[in-house]
Amino acid sequence: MTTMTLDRKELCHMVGRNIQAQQLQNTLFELGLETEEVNGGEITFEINADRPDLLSVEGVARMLRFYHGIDTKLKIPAVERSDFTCVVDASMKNIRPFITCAIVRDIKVTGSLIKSLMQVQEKLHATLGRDRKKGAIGIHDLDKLSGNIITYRAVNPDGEDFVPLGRRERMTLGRTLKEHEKGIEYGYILKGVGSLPAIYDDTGIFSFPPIINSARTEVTASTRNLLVELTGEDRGAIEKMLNILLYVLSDRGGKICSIKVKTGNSLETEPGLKTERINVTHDYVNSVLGTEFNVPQIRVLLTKAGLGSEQGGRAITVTVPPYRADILHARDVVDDIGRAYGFNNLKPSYPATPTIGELSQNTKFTSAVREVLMGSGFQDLLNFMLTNKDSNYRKMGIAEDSKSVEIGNPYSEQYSTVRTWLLPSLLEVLSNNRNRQYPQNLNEVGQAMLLDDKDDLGCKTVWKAAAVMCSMDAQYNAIKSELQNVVKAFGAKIETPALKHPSFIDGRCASVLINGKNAGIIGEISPAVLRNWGIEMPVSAFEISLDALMGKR
Amino acid sequence: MYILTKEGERYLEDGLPEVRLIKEILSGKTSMKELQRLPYFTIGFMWAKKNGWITVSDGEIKVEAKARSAKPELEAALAELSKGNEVGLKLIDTMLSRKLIEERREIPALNEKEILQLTPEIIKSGAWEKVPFKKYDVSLRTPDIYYGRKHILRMALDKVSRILIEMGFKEMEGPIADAEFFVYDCLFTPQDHPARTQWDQFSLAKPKMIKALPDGVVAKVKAAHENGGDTGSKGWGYKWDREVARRMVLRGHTTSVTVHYLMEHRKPPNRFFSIDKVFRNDSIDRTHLLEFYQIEGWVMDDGLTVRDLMGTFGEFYRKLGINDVRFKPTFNPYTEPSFEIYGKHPKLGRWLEIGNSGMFREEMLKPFGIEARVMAWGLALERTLMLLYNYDDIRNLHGTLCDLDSLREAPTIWEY
Repeated sequence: MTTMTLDRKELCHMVGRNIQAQQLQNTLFELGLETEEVNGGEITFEINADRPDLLSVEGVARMLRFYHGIDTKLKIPAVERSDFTCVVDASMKNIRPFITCAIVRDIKVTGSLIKSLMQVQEKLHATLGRDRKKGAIGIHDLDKLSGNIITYRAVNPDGEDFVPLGRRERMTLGRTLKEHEKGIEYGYILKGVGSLPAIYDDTGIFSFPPIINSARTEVTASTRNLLVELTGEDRGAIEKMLNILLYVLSDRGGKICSIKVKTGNSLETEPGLKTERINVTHDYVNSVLGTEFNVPQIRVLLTKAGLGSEQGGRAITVTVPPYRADILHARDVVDDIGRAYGFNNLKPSYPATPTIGELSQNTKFTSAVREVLMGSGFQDLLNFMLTNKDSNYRKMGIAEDSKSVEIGNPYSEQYSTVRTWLLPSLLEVLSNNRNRQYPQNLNEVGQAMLLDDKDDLGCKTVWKAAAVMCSMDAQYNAIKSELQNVVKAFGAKIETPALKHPSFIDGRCASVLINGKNAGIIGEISPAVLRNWGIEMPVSAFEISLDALMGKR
Repeated sequence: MYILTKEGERYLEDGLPEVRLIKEILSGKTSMKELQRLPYFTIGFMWAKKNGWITVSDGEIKVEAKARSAKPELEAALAELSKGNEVGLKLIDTMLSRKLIEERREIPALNEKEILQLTPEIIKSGAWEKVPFKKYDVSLRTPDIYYGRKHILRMALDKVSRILIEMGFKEMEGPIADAEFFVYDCLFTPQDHPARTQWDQFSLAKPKMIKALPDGVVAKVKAAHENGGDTGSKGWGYKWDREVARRMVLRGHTTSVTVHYLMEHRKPPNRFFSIDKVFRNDSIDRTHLLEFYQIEGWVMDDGLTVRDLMGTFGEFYRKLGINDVRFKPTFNPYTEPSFEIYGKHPKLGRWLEIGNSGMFREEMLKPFGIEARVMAWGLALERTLMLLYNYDDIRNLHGTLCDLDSLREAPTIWEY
């Protein structure tokens, strides 16, 4: 998802119709563009990732012209031939294999065009281009190039140099990567490739994709003819990006000319500006939308959606224009038909699907345990599962047991592992609420996670119940009575043989056996642990596994 | 100090029922039928039996030897107590448990002009009939007390699951840590999709990879991604990597649980839901947490349409108190058509985004062998609670950073 800001007057001018701000917002909403902000004459809205063709004012105007019936036919720009050739050197194969280009002549470079081109380039890089990795755009002043053959080939980082855009001195590509702000920003794409990609004309390097153009071929107010080149790791992506750019330039009056791209023995003429065809039946359309449209009605809606169509028997053959990147399946065409009709014009219905609702066994059981604990006066909590080893182990006075699930890319050290037990979470809440009224009796019935080699996933999730009593009277007997009450409530037997555990005071700690099975721990928290958490009030606590209480295992 | 109860007084006079029963038997009445006519039989028989004084056979009661010589200790004790003499503790216990005696408290002479606190003694003595009660200032604020309450988010969670149960949805459960295959690949989300980058999801260092993937489904999912396979799609047109799919992550949505259930429930009709934890590598502030609860639901049936989707999810929001909903077409990799759902706040009147929904794509369902239509939607529980109840800091609604006072004073959520 990305946002676009454009001037309503400029948009209306391009649509060829004056659309009031509120009406424009409503129309855009129905077409899937949510307005974020209206600021004077400017409107900012969200564009979904599947519609990179809407990343320019020209693209949005094009969509609206079809929607309002101003355009009714797909336009495929005419492509004239030129005598330019792009030679792809074999050295590029394992670096950044694909390149496509086109020439645009007789373009009038205005402030509004520059603004739109910069916006669409930036947005295309961020979306379809995946931050220039899959595809990156370079636009040059064609008349500043020497010769009519350009070459895409790999260069030694310390080899030939050029003057990158925004600099005055010559730099090698290696130095550009290290020193130029774009080199620093996008250098990660070329990490570890050895030689670096460059595009040459007769004079030398004029583009260092996907990093920066040369100063020599910079587009200025006096530029009339453009060379557009795109390189990348995904051929489909750069072709779509080129098509989208060429439609913007063509809508601005540019004439598109072809370039021959020679890779090994293959020779292709670019740009293809290819349309695609896809078949849908009106039955399928109606079965998804719940409508009763006939074929002519569907074809009217397809035109409104900016798609071409022909009728052939029961099927409709839909023509998808070259700038659309989102039609993979007939289902996508149905979506466009729905948008053109206005989904909110459909009458909602309630399906008669016969099913019966039910809670899961775990929800039923954990709710029951929670109810007993809340009835005993314990505040119910929902804590984070994400924690860190310091809280899970050190602050609790215990050694690491290598049972923690660990995050590879933590947001911060504080949230770098998944808790293996619940008591640290409860102590953290006590620690954060030292200025709140006591007693603080808290419980959590929740999940913890443990590494487990026997599981296919390598880890398992366990349900546990834990409670703390924090007050002047938080003695062993008190918490023991509470635990007895819980265990008794589920008709189970409890035993508490003495246990030595570093989190608890020696002689006031026991392991919990439920129906003879080891299920957890109970005791008074050791003052050393309380000090680690900054708690200055006595705490007694228990934690048990719910499997034991439920009679599982 | 103990005094005899009414029952104790009676036994002191008439003798204990078990003693009287023994006497009757020894006097020659041994037939059960005959003895049962005695008014004290039931209780006498019970104690005589308990003491091991009698045995019963063929409707005849026989007195054991030890009963013949037994001294009626209790009778003696009752007599001693009634005279105000001391009696052994064991006998006191027995008499207390048989409610023959009770503790006697001293009734203090009531000298005050007003009763401050009502006591059992005052109630019994009737002193309250003569002395007036001191009047309290009943308008004063008393100290706050805090007992166990259900967490505000749990109240919201319970409310939402109640709505879904009523609408015929069954609850699902599934792994929190799962392989990307189930979290993304099965959802037709390309492997270079931004949601799958390190800036959005939590990948695990331990455990790093799932051991095995379901081979049959893997081949079909791979084909769907690469060229559409037999799903009628072009696919995404890239080379699908099994190793990427094997990577373990903390699930970024519970749609991964839906995937597991779809694989097991391939035939309609089905309605399933879950309200469970998901994780996003976002930030922690007033409106964001790294982990939150996602409400997820789906319906599978033959011939489900977009209108059914709008009707079903509209009904869900109506039960939450949101009567006006609008559907904005949007994009999700695994649903088409897809809609963001906007609802009008019942009190504030503003339009707010309250959910995301869509019809699962054929590229997603076909690899599981599902021919029926499936529609699904999801929303964040915390966000819904914040919107409906006007909370401005999510950190008090979920997690270890909570303020206890905010939980203690939260309003009770019950209505729907």
